[in-house]
Amino acid sequence: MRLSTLTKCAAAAGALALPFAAAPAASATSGGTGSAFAISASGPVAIPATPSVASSSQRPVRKSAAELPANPLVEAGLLNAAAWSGHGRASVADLKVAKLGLSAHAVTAKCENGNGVSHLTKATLNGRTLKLGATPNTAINADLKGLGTATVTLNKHVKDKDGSLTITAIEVVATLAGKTQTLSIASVTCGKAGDNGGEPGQPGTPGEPGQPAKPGTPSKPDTPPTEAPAPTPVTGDLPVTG
Amino acid sequence: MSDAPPRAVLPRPDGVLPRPRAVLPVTALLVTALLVAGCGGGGQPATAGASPAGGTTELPQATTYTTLDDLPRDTAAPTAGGGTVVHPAAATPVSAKPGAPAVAELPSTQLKGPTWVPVVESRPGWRRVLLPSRPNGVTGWIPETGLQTARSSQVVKVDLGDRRLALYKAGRKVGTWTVAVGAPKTPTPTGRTFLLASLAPAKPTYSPLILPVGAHSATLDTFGGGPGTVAFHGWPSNSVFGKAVTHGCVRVPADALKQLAKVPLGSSVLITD
Repeated sequence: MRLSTLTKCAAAAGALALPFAAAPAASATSGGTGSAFAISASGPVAIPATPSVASSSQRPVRKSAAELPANPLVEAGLLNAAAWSGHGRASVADLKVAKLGLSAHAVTAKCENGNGVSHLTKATLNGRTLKLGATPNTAINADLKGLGTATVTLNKHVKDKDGSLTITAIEVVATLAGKTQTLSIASVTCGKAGDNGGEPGQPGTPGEPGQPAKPGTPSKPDTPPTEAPAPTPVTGDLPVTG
Repeated sequence: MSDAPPRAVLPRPDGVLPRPRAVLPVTALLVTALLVAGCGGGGQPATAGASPAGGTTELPQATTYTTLDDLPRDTAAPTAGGGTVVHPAAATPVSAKPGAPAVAELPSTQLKGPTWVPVVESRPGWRRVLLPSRPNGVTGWIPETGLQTARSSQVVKVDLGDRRLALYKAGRKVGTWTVAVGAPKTPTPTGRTFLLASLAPAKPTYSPLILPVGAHSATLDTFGGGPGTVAFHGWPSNSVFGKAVTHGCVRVPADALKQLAKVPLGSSVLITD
């Protein structure tokens, strides 16, 4: 059982390690701009999207970083981001977020013409093993030992109204001492396929993980943007400029 | 006469403060200031409402009461944009660039109602939104995380030259009205802004509904004790419509107000000369 899990992990990691071999760039005839970043954080600890790339060209534009800007929140090994027309790829190796007890050997996300997947390899949260390929928008609440609370969303899918899809492998929203800290790991956005977009390849689709993790309370999946509500008047007044 | 300030809009202390009628002007101003501070959650983080636990933050709040100088301005041509509007579920940090340190905080409520702001630009993980603070057209980048996203297909256009207001739904004009706009010395500011709130005064005087937008008068730093916020509202007399007589607000006929009341918060308002 365990061996099989490892094998599958390795297979998935292997497939993801050479993501571009399986995706001939020329096939992307439409789909608009793809974009990707490996890590970004906002709040008390702000980390600009590192590395970050957006491109609508037919050939992949890749950026890598060997390390993150110095920060007290997150450590990571190699960070990769790549984007081209209708495609985005992002990966983070050796992720460690000590405050959350979150670590992963590899975190990846890929998006092709409005479809995509994200994967975690050897990921744990407070000692709990996280699924290799979590159900989209799986939310897990974590208690930060008196420091605050955090919501960790795995495999976050957000569909924009123009059909583009953003997948974030891990998203953390933590409230620390009353302040909101966010952390996004491996995030990709791509447009919907055109007529010639072809089938999105899924080379990294994992089998059943050997050790199903307890996913916590699944969150409501993000719904595509709906028409905003008509406002409800609030009883009140503001001296406006007549 | 139509140029008279809407005196009735001054905060009426009915049931709020005792002894209202005899106050001296100076006291009245203080009372006004207190009421204003108490009603919008402006200025002080502790009144931001959405995150009582966030009272320790020092960041200025992005509300109609504040001025945020360290943020980029909206330089795009006044077009409606994509119609995407977002609501922060909790107070959200605002940065000058994606990933830059926060310089302000967008509370989840404005004027006691939910905050809805329009998205003018997107980057992976980040949304650039119009903010309700001064200076006019101030924008900021907020993390996409924790935002409720919706779409508004409605746009309000005001042509100051023609003194006409037009309402568009899904790109189609669904109504036009002749309105009153700012007088030459107190003009209605031009540019792209958005519907900020829908307020129903407890004792309506000149309008049953006040619809403040994100913009402020450029010539009046304060008005009636408020921060000089521009708004759509009704007016008791039809004689003002078609004239440039206001202190910056746009006075609209009753039917227009009824239609504007249904326009989602955050929807684009485009004001041109």
